[in-house]
This record gives sequence, C-alpha cells and structure tokens, in this order.
Amino acid sequence: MSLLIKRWIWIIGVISVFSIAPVLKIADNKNPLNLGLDLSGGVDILIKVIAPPEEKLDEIVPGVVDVMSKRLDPQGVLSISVQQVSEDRINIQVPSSSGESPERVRRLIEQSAHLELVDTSFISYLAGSKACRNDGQSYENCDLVYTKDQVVIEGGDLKRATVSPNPNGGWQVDFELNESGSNAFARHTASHISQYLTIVLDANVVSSPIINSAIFGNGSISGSFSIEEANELALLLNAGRLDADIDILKLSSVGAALGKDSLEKSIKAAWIGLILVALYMLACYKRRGVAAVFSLVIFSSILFSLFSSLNITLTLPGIAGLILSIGMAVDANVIIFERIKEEERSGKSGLLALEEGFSNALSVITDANVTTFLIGLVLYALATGPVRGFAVTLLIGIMVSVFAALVVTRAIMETWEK
Amino acid sequence: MNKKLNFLKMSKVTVWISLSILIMGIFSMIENTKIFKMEKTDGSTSSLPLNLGIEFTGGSVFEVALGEESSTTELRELLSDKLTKNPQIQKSGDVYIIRTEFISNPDEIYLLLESKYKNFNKDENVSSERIGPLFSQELAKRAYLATFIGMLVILLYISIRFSFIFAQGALVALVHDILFVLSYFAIFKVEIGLPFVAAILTILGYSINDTIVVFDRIRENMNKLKNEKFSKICETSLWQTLSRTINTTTTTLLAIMAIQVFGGATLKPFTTALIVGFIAGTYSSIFIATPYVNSKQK
Repeated sequence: MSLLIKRWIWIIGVISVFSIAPVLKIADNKNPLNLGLDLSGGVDILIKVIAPPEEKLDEIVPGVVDVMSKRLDPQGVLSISVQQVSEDRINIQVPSSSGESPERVRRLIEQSAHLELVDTSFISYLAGSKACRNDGQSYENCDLVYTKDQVVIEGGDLKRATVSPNPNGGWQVDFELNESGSNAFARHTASHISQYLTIVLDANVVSSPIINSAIFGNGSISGSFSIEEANELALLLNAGRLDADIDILKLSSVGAALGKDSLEKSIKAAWIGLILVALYMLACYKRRGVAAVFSLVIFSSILFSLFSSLNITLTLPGIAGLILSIGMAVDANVIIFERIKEEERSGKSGLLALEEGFSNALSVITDANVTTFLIGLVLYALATGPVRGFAVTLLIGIMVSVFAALVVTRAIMETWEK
Repeated sequence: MNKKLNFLKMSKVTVWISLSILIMGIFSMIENTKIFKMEKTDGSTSSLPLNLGIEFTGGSVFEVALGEESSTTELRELLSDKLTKNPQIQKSGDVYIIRTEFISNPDEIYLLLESKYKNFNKDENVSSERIGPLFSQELAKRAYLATFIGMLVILLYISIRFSFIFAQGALVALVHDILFVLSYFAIFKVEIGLPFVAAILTILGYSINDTIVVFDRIRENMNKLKNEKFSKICETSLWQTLSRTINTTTTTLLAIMAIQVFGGATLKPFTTALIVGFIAGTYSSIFIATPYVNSKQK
C-alpha cells in the first residue's frame, strides 16, 4: 500500500472515530459543544460556610470547596467553578451546558451527607423517622435518639459507593469500607446477629435492616430508591461529607457574563476573520491555498469533534487557546508552502519539491509545536481555573494542528501532484 | 545577496525605540499607582500599577429588577459613564446582577437607576453586597508559578535543541513582548479583565513560535554556510523567513482585527491585547531575539 493511501486512511479514520460522539449528541438533540458559564450562562450560587464551634473557618473552607467540586463535577470535565471568594463565602458557577438543573444543584449543595450506621439493638425504625445524635443539645421530636457509642460506621469509613439494582425492586447503594471501618463492621455484625442496624443519613432514618450474618468489607443501603436517588446518594457519599453547615445566600440563573448580544456579534466576527484568512491564503498561494483551506476545514472539524467527544467545556480562555492553535496551524501551512517555493526556485519541481519542502519544514514545525505544547503542559499541571481552560484547548489544538499540517495538507497536495 | 535593508543594523536603532516604550510603560505604571487603588476587605487600600478590573480587585454586586423595557447594553452604557471600571452585567429574567468596583454608598447607583427606569424601586427586590475578587490571590500565585516554570521549560528545551544562547534570546524576546503589552495597557490605562490573562498566554505561545521559526533557519544555515560570518548567517536567515513572517502575521492579524472591528464590545480589551502582542511578537523575533543571539555568539 502506498504511503499516500495510508495517509488518507488515517485521515478518514480519525475523522470518523472522533465524529461519533458529536453525531450521537446531535441525534440525541443535545448541544454538541459545552459552553462555560461566561459564554452560555447557567446557575450562579453564593454560599456561606458556618464553621462548627471551636473549628477554624480557614481550615474548614478549603475542605468544603473540595467536597462541592467532587459533588457537582466528579469527573472534573464540566467546567463547574467552585471558588472561595471571601473568608466564609464560596461562589459556585454551574454552566447551563452541564445539564444540571438549579433544583438538583441545590440538593447536591445543601446535603451534608452525614451517614451513620447506628446500632439500635432490637428496635427497627421506619424510613423517614427523625434521628438525633445525643450530643448534649436538645433533641425534641426525635423518634430515635442515639449516642456516639451506638454508631458503628460513619461516612468517613467509606471507601467507595456504587449503585446496583435491589433484588426486591428499586435500587440500592452498595458501599465498600476502608480497613478500620471494615474491621469494626465485621466485629459488630458477628456479635449482633438478629439485631437491627439503622442507617441514618442527615438525621433521617433511611432503613433499618436486620443483621443476618457477619458482614465483611462491604454492605449496602437499600431504601426505596429510584435510580436517580440512588445515584445521587452514591455521589454524595463518594464526595465525602461536609464538615460545616452551609447557608445558600443566593442561587440564581444568569445569562452569559460576556453578554449574549456581544457574544453573537463576536461569533459572526470570528467567521468573517476566518473567511479573510482563507481568502488571503488563496490569493497568496493559489492552488496550494485551496489545499491549505481544505486542510484547515478538516483541522477544525477534528478539533470540534474532539472537544465534543471529551466533553470539554469551552470558556473564553479556552477560545484563546483555540485561536493560538489555529494560528499555529495556518503558520505550519505557510512554512511548508514557503519551503516548497524555495525548492522550486532552486530548480526542483513537482513531487520532488513537495517532498523536500515537507522534510525541510519538519524540524521547525516540530520545535515550535513541542515548545508550545510544553508550555501548555506546565499550565495544565500547575494552574487552575481560567488558565487551565486555556491549556486544555491549546494542548488538543496543537496535536490536531500538527496532524493537519503534516498529514492532511500533504495528502491533499500529493493527490493533486499525481 | 545585496539587500538595501539590513535587519541587524536596524536593530541597533529599534532597540532604543523598544527601550523607550518600555520605560514609558514603567513610568506610567508608577504614575498609575496614584490613580488606581484597590480597597481591601479589611479597609486598607493598595495601589495598583495597572487598571485592574473587578475580577482582580473585587467590588460590589447589586441585584436589581428593572422591568420589561431594559437591556444589558443600555444598562452598561448608563453605568459606564458613572463608574471608573466597566461593570459586569448578567441578566436573569428581569433581574440584573451587576458587578461593579467597590461602592461604599449603594444609593449612588440606586439614584442613577431611578432616573432612568420608572419601574425601578429601590425598596423592592434589591440587594447589594461586597464581593471578593474572582481571580483570587491564590489563583494568581499559581498562574505566576506556572508561567515561571513554563519559561524554565522553554529555556531547557531550546538549550537542548539549539543552544543556551538561543534559549536566552528567545526568553529575552518573550519578556520584551509581555512587557510591551503591559506597557501599552499601562500607558493607555486600558482596563484589564480576566480575558487579559488568556491574551497574555496566547501572546506567550505566539512569540515563542515566531522566534523558533527564525532560529530554526539560523541553525540550518549554520550547517550550510559554515564559512560565513555569524552575522551574515543571521541576516540571510531573516531574509529567507521574511515572506513566511509577513504571511503568517497578516493572516493572524486579519482574523483578530475582524473580531476587534466586528465583534462585541466585551471582547475589545482581549483582542486589543492580542493585536499589540502579535505585533510585538513578530517584531521581537527579528529585532530582539536574533540580534541578541548575534551579539553573544562568537
């Protein structure tokens, strides 16, 4: 098989693999690209952290920020921003593209996710009963009052929570315990067979199962959960519990920070810019310009598909990274064409000039892109927030731009020469 | 090759132009500290060398309902006249969330709104609050650290692929470009918002790219033209890469200019920074980086 055919197979392969996700999303009537809060609007939340007595606020708040990020964006791909804005305030921004409704966001934020498995010996409690831990405070209207000594397992003993179907219908949350939790759990269950272990979540009884045999390492919480409820509980348990009370000061849906009108204008302007670039390339390089424009169209479609496949949320800094990688893609084409021109001036022609031009351009394209890629890597590893958003699109953009220049442009031009 | 223009000779003049712009920039930054202050939450103020936006300084946030016949653009115009910094306005139904610089007496804003909007009633659905900066000290610290380590990595990579002198040249050009953009923003007192951070990063990448293209040609010619003087090699390389430099700069500027001219108002500072930075980046690869390498290479 000739090299040229291999190149085309590569190009078609890359395009088709990466276009699966956006095609599925469009078919599913979803927006193929996620836009950040600055571009699309979303939910803007301000919460106040109230530290428990005798705890220092500045030690508590970073933990709350961490738990909130894990709850709202466990995979870290939705570009939900959780930022401490003052001593006791945290600002959370959830872009509308993340698909989270304000109600769900509120639920996820508000729950303290304080899980306890309480030894209630021979008494079972109904789901929804009010449970209070006896910590010296008043406990009126409580169905179950328990002491610290009755708590067998706490949320902190959990290693991981997952969701599975309940054999009796509905869904349950299975949990795996860490070593100390697992030991305590095995010891307790072995010595309390036929007694009840009541599961308490945020002062409410979830269920009160009976212990049938000694249990090692893992267990499950089976209330009458729907799949959504079970998933939410598992998510909360995995994110860890909140060590402080929080107060939602503000939760509102907002429009794009950059202004919708302004943004629409800018998108139009960007199109004008791209068309101008294409026209310039055509004017400068004639027939080769057509190859460059084709190559850039393929570059953009691969990039677009990749962003969609990887669920990357585009923010303004992200677009800046994109501009830089587009610039570098255009530049790579310009470098190659200039090199080919030089070869032609020295008397070579056709495929030979092409071959020499590409191989001479290779070192500069490599060095320029590797350097920029390294900057991107450092920014990605060390920076947070907007700077990181820039790094993500830049890193992906550079990889695609090198592919576009060295494989796509070359394949198009060689096909023409033959 | 008998060219009338000689870049290396020209650079002896242009370096003074560069220096004077940078010195003007530094003077403006010193002057600016008298104008731009930031009121901290503990009541103390600190002086700022640049016109930093509310993303960096923090400020006040107002939530107001203005009724049906209102628009973000119109509200922005109304407030911009009164305030020194651009407010950020987000719409949520008929409620506007307005972030401004710190305003100790909210009544100033309410009076302004009352004069324009009949439906506005300051006793209803209105809240005002003080907010901290979005780009917090912590975030800034990490960004500085990342930029610093990024530069070290560039220094290392170019030292390996070229030589330490080339790496220095690239870095000098890079610092020049960033200072150049900062000077522009200091001299013209243009407000710096969060997008500016993104713009600076873009310029960083662009500047390095431009410099490497020239350096690559010098490296190649050092092998091809072994018997030539180094300054001749540099000059030849600059000429050989000139058409690429012109074409690439033109295409990038075309695209950014289009956004500058036809795009929305909120993106203007971002594109301005890019334009200034891209011009500086192209200029510095020819007139700063290469002459620097030439002066050090023996």
